[in-house]
Amino acid sequence: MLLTRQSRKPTTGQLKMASMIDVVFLLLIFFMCTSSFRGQENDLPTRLPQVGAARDGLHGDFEPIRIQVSKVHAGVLVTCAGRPCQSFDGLVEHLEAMRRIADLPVIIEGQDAVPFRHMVAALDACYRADLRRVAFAARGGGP
Amino acid sequence: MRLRKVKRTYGCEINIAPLIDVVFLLIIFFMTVSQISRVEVEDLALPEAEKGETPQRAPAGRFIVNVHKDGRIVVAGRTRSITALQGMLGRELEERSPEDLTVLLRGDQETRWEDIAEIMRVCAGRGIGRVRVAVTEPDASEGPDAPGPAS
Repeated sequence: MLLTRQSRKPTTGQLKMASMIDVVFLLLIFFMCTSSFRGQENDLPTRLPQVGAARDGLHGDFEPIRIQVSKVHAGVLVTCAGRPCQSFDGLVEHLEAMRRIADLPVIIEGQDAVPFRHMVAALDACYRADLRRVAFAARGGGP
Repeated sequence: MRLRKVKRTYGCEINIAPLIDVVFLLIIFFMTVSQISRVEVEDLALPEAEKGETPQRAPAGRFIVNVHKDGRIVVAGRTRSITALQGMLGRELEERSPEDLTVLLRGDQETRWEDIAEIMRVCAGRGIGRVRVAVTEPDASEGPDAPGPAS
């Protein structure tokens, strides 16, 4: 009688991973394509005149420069201390000329209908001219 | 003589368990990141400025107000009225002083100035003097945006 030793085979179950990996990679690609990354955001500091304060530290001994941004048919009109500017680059040149006197305070006023980006451009023009004491007027006006 | 064919199987086993772990981690990462980033910050076309300052880190006393181009005010993912905004600022000021609170105003490029000015009036009325305006860096390919002709 011949006794043969039967080989013992391991009885572990096998899991088919191929389909699961396909699904997982599909999900990964989906989320990578649908997620959007925002660009770098910066910010510009500004000050607000306090309600009821007659004169705060913003003004000091100098009369503030007034920049007015008005809505006109073709765009906006910018005036600096009563003088119109052809562009925001022209506004920067005006402000740089005034900066040579001192770090004068600046107040930016805008009409109600002026788009926000033009007000920010006026604020940016002040910082480009190295004028740091900038505030928006407390009250808007105009159409 | 009986010839027996020896069947040889060539194969290498790749352990894919760590690969699946990494892939699942990446999926969870993208899922959670896309949710967290939507809470306080709205998708707006911010105005451009050259002299924008890069925030070093999110200050603890920062209050973010988003203003869409139609004048809608959104704070913490929900649309608020100006009265509700006043109340929220009041509650913030109960916890910290006006000097410690910074309001970050994120307005769309085309938002009317009167909508922004109203929010600034509310902040000024509450004694908040420190307001920052969110901007982006200008696109290098575009020229400067010139205002209309002066009369």
